[in-house]
Amino acid sequence: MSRAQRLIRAAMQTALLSISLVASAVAPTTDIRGRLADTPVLRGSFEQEKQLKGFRHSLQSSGDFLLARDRGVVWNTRKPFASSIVITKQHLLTTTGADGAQKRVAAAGSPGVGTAPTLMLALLTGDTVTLAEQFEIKPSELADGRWQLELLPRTGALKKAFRRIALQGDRNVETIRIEERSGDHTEIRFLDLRDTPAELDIAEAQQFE
Amino acid sequence: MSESAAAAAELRRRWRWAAWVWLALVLALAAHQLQFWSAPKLDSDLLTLLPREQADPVLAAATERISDAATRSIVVVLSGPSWATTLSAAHAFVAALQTESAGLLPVGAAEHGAATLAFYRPYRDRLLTPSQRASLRQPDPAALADRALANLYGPGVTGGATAWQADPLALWPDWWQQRIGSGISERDGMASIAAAGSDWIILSYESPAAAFKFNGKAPIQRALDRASAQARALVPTVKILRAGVPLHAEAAAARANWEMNTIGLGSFLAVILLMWLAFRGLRPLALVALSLAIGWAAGVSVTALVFGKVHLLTLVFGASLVGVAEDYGIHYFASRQRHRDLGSHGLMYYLLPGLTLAFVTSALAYLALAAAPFPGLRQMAVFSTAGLMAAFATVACWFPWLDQRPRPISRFGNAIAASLQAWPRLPNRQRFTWLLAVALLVFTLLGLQRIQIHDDLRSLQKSPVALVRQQQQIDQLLGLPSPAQFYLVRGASVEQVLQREEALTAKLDQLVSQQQLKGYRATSDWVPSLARQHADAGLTAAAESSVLTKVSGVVGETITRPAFAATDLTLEDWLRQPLSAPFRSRWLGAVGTDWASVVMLNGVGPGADLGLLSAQAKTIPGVRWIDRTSDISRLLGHYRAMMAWLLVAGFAGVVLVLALRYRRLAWRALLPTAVAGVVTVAALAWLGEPFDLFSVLALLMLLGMGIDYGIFLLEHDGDGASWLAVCLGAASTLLAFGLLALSATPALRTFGLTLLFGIGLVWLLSPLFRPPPALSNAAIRSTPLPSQTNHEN
Repeated sequence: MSRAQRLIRAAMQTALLSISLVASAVAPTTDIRGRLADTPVLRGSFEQEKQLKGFRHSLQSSGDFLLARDRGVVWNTRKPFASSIVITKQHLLTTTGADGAQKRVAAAGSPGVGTAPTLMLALLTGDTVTLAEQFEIKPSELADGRWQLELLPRTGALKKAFRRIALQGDRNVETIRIEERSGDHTEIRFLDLRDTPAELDIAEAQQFE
Repeated sequence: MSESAAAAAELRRRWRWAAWVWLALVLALAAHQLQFWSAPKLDSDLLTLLPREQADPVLAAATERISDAATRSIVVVLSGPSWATTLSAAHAFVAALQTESAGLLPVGAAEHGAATLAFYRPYRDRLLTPSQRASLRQPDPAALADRALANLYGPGVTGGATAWQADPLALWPDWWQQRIGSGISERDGMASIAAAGSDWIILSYESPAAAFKFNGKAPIQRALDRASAQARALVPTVKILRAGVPLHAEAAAARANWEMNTIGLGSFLAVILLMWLAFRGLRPLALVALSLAIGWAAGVSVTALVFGKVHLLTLVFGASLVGVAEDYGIHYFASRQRHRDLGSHGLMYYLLPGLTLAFVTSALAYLALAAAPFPGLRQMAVFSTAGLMAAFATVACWFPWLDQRPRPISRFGNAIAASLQAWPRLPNRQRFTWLLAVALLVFTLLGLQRIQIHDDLRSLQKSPVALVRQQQQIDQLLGLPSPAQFYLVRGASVEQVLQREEALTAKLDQLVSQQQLKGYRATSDWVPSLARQHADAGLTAAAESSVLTKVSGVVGETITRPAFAATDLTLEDWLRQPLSAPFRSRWLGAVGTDWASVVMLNGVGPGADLGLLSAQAKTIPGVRWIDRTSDISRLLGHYRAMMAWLLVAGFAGVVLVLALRYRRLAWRALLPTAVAGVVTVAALAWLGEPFDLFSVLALLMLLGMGIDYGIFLLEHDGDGASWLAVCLGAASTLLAFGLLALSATPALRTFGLTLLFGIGLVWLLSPLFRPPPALSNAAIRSTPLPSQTNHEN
């Protein structure tokens, strides 16, 4: 593969990597890891606010999500319109519109998709090695007793895309804030987090198929 | 008496001239040798052995460009039990290789990515994949708007490539994905691919220009071995594969060096040993060695002067010259004792007609190799002919001076000389003879039934199995483009070439979707034709404008589509960018009044349906399917047939020449070689060896050399000295070609085997057909010898 190809790939990779970071993140330091609940399944709702360059208003959306440590993540946007994204080790599936039009990209055949879910799941399981390779991590304690992790990108491609990423939480990651070099920024808040039942029911499991 | 003394003096005077002239030439040769070996111009590239497309300059340019691009790159792929271990093994490998002095330069890891994106960004609106194009031709505005909104509101960020407004349908990532090749991605700063059930890291290197050293070492291979060992020390189970032309070239060079030393040294020592056994003197030994050394050096020098470079395989083949060129010296010394009355000059004068005839037939046989337009064979022909001539000249011009007195032949030599009498003369009326002849006939006829004609390019090239297997595995993983099969696209303008490429790739896309092809690489992948750019820009403008209008309604503000480049993306611009460097070899540019390019195919393996691929080119004007492998195999077959005719013609020519000199005895010199040739072909067929161009060429050489034995025995019938010379000569020739049969290069092996059998048979058969004593000298046109009339002298 040529030099140019590799770097373009790196740049394209960034977008997908960010999805996994947003979906969930785990603190790498042992202190914070100890406080994080070590659950196989996590359910909850989210509120997302995006501020994009060229848009006067911020873009707000909300919905619910399902995180299964050994399967992947389902991201259901409910407002302002319904759409869903399922990320597993095998594929990336987007469902949009009233008629449920689907776009499925197989992980095997598509570069970027293949690695992002793997990385994401590594994050969920607390694979601090992987995270620390990509980011310099600065942990700190907030005034209210919760923790914060500041992730500063290490590698050239990530540096070009992100200024910083900040995670805050207690037993779980509660907010994620992503600041991009382009000036765009995104904030996601997680609410109503539930880790029981610890197994997926049939309907939940089907979403990953 | 005074008359003969005057004649002898005249002879010596003329010889003195010849000796001085030859000395001058040998000194020039020595000077050239010193200069050549101080910086040897040796060639190990197998492609240079193959015929060039002289008839078609476009095809010649294409193959040259492709092989240039291929000859320097090396790819290493690694995979451990997990990504983390793969990564640490790769880091260890890279770090270890940095400390090596093999001069391998890593490819990649620079900061051109942003520049590449910046170059293409203004043209984003006119870059579509085939499936995007198809779906935008029949757009579903509502579904497109939904997709755009999902992208806008979806989790995470839009990414660094474009602002959302500039690509609301996220078309660009897919386009890039297709450019980069399926499966390859950047992960933790490493190019990686998920294939064959595991994750692999791909490391690309470039080897320095082919300034390799001819010392039998393989520096690149050893550097990679050591780096692999470092990676394995960290991750013992890591799989490491490597591929690249430099590895094959290096293996070939090391192998050729070994073979040249084995064959050259082996046959040289054998000649020396035989000489020692037969003559028991240092001088004959030193003189024959001198003739061989001068012969070999002349071979190298003349080849270097004619071709500019000497190929390694030429040196390997040339090493077997030792086994042929020693004949002249041996013949001289074998006859010396018996004809001591002639004096050294007189003996040479006496032997010269036979030696000259033997030299001419051998040289003609070697020159016949040059009739086929294979540069490799031409080098071997020039090398061998020059070497033979120099060895012959050394014997003829110098031996009478340097050899002062006849010496007795050893008991061993005499035993061999006397053994001639033990051979029966044919034809005779014994029943045993007839039984043997019939048995041989049956063996031969049955053997000839089993002949397998097999013309294969691979007979010129044989890489180590492990290397070939790794190359195949990497081809499977990465789908590397095949340098031997491709499409040549021509047109009257750049635009026409690009449009024809697009017509071709549209067909290839269908094959890819039917999984009959892994993929392709074309210039139009990176620079679409203007017609296509305009059409695609129209498609995206229509779809995206309507999408943006709909999205504006949802978000409650007016979003405008940013402007794209007003000018076209041109090939000239693209060629000036650093990003086009890896792909430029596919654009051949202006060729005569035309423009041309190459479309390459990924992963065309042994199972590929070449007929199907060839059919794709037929319906598009200006597109030609090129299959170098089959072209060259066909060429080998063509020249096999042609050379077979030349063999027949050569045989007829030899019949004519021998008939002029030996009249009705000529058949006795010819028959052993003819029988030996046919029986050899049959015997090799029994052994399951394929019959190809190189078999025919070996038969031609058998004709040239085998006839010599017949000639020597006819010239000096009943002469044990000639028989001694034939035996010593045949033994060393057998050994030289027997060693050549050990070569890893199938073509040289065929040569070696054919001549091993053939020469062996001629050796056995020749004495059987020597004429009855009464017949011999009467039939030969006598050569007047100056001292022959003065035996009392």
